[in-house]
Parts: sequence; structure tokens; C-alpha cells
Amino acid sequence: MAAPEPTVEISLQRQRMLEWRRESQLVDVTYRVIRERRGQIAVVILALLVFGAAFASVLTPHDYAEQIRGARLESPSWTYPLGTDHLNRDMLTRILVGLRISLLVSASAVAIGAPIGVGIGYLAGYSGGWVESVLMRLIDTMLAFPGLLTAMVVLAILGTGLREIAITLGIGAIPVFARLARGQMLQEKEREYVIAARSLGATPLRIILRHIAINTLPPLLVQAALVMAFAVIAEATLNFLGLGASPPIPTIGILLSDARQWLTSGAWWYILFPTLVLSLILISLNFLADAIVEATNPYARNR
Amino acid sequence: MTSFMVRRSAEAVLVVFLASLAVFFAVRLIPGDPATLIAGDDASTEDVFEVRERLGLNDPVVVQYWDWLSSAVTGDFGTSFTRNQPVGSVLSNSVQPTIELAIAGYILATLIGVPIGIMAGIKPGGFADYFATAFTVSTLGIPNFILGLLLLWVVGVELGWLPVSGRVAFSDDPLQALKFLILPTIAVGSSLGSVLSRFVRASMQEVMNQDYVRTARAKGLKERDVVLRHAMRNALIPVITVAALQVGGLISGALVVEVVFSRPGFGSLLIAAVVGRDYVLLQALLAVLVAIFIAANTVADITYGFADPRIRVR
Repeated sequence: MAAPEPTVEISLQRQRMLEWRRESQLVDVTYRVIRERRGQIAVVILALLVFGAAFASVLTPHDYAEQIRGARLESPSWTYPLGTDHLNRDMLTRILVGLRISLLVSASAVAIGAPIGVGIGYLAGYSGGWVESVLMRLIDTMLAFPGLLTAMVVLAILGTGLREIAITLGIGAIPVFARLARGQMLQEKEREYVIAARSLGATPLRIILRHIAINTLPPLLVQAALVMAFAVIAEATLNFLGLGASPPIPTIGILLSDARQWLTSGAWWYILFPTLVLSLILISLNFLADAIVEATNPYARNR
Repeated sequence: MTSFMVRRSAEAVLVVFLASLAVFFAVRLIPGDPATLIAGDDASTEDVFEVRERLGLNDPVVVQYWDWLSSAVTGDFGTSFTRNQPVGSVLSNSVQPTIELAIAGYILATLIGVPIGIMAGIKPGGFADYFATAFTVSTLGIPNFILGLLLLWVVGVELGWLPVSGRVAFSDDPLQALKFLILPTIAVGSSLGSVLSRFVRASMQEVMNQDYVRTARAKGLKERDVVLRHAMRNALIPVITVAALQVGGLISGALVVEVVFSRPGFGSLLIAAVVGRDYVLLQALLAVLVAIFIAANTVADITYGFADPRIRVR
């Protein structure tokens, strides 16, 4: 007689989960993303990378600028898992710190570009008329300049450095978000639920934030993941070109630029590991974007 | 068609003009007084004033812009103060390596992207499609300058098959020039090739479901003719625009890859201009690059008009 009870228990949990998912779209999307194969790969890799980046100082006994006596260009071993560089520094430590910088700079770029861009896009889409024309022409002009070139000009104005790179890439991300958000706003503002909210006397700000923003979230998340991937590449490129941090700060771009000088020394670990870490970030961000698209695709629903 | 071309070119000229304004004023925002930089550290106030007067920096900004634009049109971009050379000759000395790399990269991208995209699009889920996906994922994970570094390391250093860095002009020794060009071209062209293959695949997949493809099959054409004569020609039309829009990314990619392979071109020039805050050189470089992008987009639009008659009747 006791046998049926667990099934009831499980179905109650299921019920609660379903209700929870129904209430919040974010929960629903997250649930669907971690059920996707690509989403799982992305989440696991990103979690590992973030963990490594956050606890770099605990995970390795060395400092990123510490020069270890007698350990010049050592190949990977138990003492130095990823080898050492030409200035006797532990590569694992330097890569983890570089990874931290890479993630922080690119996340800041998204944190700067997304709110401003989405704000401009929503404003343009909601108000229409000359406000829309002026804002969108400005955005089009920004889009006319290729990303990396704009970044270099802004760096010439602001001066070089990591904070400057984050600001520059954030500015560069504005038009992409603005275009997307405007398109969504144009689509959503005619929907019944918006008209219903308006007829109930909701203010435009409330309609935008509480109704439209929540409904247009998934495509913006996809865009955020892709913009972050672009920012990771751009950050590495600008640092590689010497327009970013100055020594001894290790960024992935600087590590690669140093490794380029030592290609003929046979130190394969010097170039291979920074490349590998960068590829892992990029592939997992792209997979994450794919998984969100898949998770919010109406044809693939009801799973 | 002529009126379409004229209208489209006029629009392009207007955009170039607006872009030149943007470039000019953006460069003015660079901190530091160029006159003080040019006159040197131990110059007296009079010297600095004299330099300002000579460069026309005391004139209103609008007059400065007009002076710059009117001489830029004739090819006179002023004198670079980090190199003490007329910017025009600095640019013409280093434009060739960049252009040849960009063109080679573009050709390679088309040669990779179009066939892969077509094969993947004909049979989604087939072998070619898996190959296309693998190719896409690997180019997403490896940005072009890192691909350049890896090629430099494996093919150039470890295997020693191709020269590692530098450039030989085609006019000096075509075979040698080609050897120097191969690795940078692969680095520049692969990512664009993968972008193109994705678009061609999507476009091809759509076209293969069209009625006229079914008609072509129904009247007994060989599958090869259906694909090559009916489907492909229509599938490639939207790709023209995509391909042209990528020119900006392609050239910025070429600029970075040039630095990886130590090729003397716009890339190293641009970095020198940014680091040295050489505003005369920087604004000339930007103006030329932006003009190239806009020209590419215009040419694409016009080609699109030729390829698809529906476009030009608007």
C-alpha cells in the first residue's frame, strides 16, 4: 500500500517545477538551456573557467609577476602544470589571471553596451517619429565603421589600457543592441497585452520595463552572449597589438604576443595553452547563444 | 539601370562625406596639442605658436576641415610628424601589401565558403553538412590572428615549409611573393569562408524547396543541372550582399594578421599612428579605409541590382 506514494511526491515536484517555469520566463529559459546538449557543454565549461579565473590566487602557489629562479621556459610538469615563460613565470597562474581579465573586460563591455543600446532601441521604437529617425541614423553611422577600427580610434582618444578597452568595446556594442531592441519594440508594442496594459493606465516606463522588456529578453540574451564572444576576441586582439595592458600584467593577447617571440624556441606550451583557453571561452559562448535560440524556438517547445 | 547606378553612387558620395566629417572630428578629440608635439619638448612658446600658425591650427575648425578635405581630394594628406614624410607617400608605400592580402583572403573565402555551403545546403544532415559545422565551430573558436599564429608556428617554424615573416613584392619575384602570401591568406580567409558557407547553406536550403526546382526535376533534368543551373544561381544572389558587408571585417582582419606576419602594410601603420598619436596619419588612414568599405558596399548594391532586376525598380 505504501508503494504509490513516491510517485505522487514526484509528480507534485514536477507540478511545482512547471508552475515555477510558467511564472518566470528566465527560469523557463534556463531550464530549457540546461536540457540542451550544447547548453550543457557551455554551462559546464563556462563554470569551470569562471571558477579558475576567480580562484587563481588560491589554485596556484605563484604570483603572475613572480620570477622563479632557474625555471626559464620549463616544459609542463607537476610543479608547473602549464610550463613557465621566458621570464621564469608560471604559465598556469598567468593564464588564469589573463582569463580573469578577459572575462571581466568582455563582461564589462556587455554591461556598458547592452543597457545603453537597449535603452536607445526601446526609446526609438516606442516613440517613433523624428526621435526614431535621429537615433537610428546615429546608430547606422556607428555601424558603418568596422568594430576593430572604431575601437582603435577610441583608444587613440582615450589612451591605451584595459579600462579603456572595456569602455571602447562597450561603446562599439551599442548599435547592435539598439538595432535589435528597436526591432523587437516595433513588433511588441502593437500586441494585445501592451494595449491591455496601456488601457489599464500603465505608464510607458512601466509598460516597457515590466511587460515588453521581459518578453523580449531571450533574443537580447543571445545577442549578449555573441557580443561577449566578440569582445573576448577584440580584447585579445587589441592587447596582442600592444594597445592594452602594460607588462607584467598577463592578458591572453599579451601572452600570445610574447609567445610569438618564442616560437622558434620549441616552447609549444607557451602558445598552445593561451590559445586553448581562448577557444574554450569562444566556443562555449557561441554554444550558449545557440542553446538559448534553440530553447526559445517556438517550434521546439513543449519538451 | 543607369539611373539606379547614378543614384546609388550619389548616396555613397554623401556617406563618404559624412564619414570624413566623423573621422576629422573624432581625431580632433585626441588629447594633447599636436603643435607642442611637433615643435618638440624644448620649443619656446613662439616656436609652438609658429607651428600652430603653419599647420592652420589657429583657424576655425570648419576652415581646417575644408582645407583638409580640399587637399585630401587631390591626394595631399599633410605631413606625418612621427615619420617626417608626406602622408600620401607613406600610404602609397604600404597600401599594396594590405590590398593584395585582402583580395587573396577574399578569393580564398569564396573558394571555401561557396562550395561547402552549396554541398551542405543540398543535403542538410549529410556528410558535407557535418564537415561545414565542424569547420564553422573551429573558426568560431579560433579568431583569425590566432589562426595566423598557429600557422606561423606549425607550418612556418616546426615544419619549415613556408617563410615565417615579411613580404616580397609580386613585381620582384612572383613565386617568392606567393609563398609569403599563403599563410596570411589562410588566416584572413577562413573565418570569412565559414561565415559565407553558413549563408550559402541557408540560402541553398531555401531555394531547393522552391517550386521551380521541383519543376526542373519534374521535366527530367539531371540533378547536377538542377543544382548548378537553377538552384545555385538564385541561391547566390542574397550572398552577394552578405559578402560585401563582410569587407569591413575582412580588412580589419587583414590589418591584424599583417602584424602577426610582420608584413609592412596599413596594419603596422595604423598601430604606429594610434600609439604615436600621429593625428595627420591617423585621419588619412581612417578616411582611406572607410572610403574603401563604402565603395565595397556600393559596388555590392549595384551588382545586386544587376543580378536581381527586382531590386532596382524601387
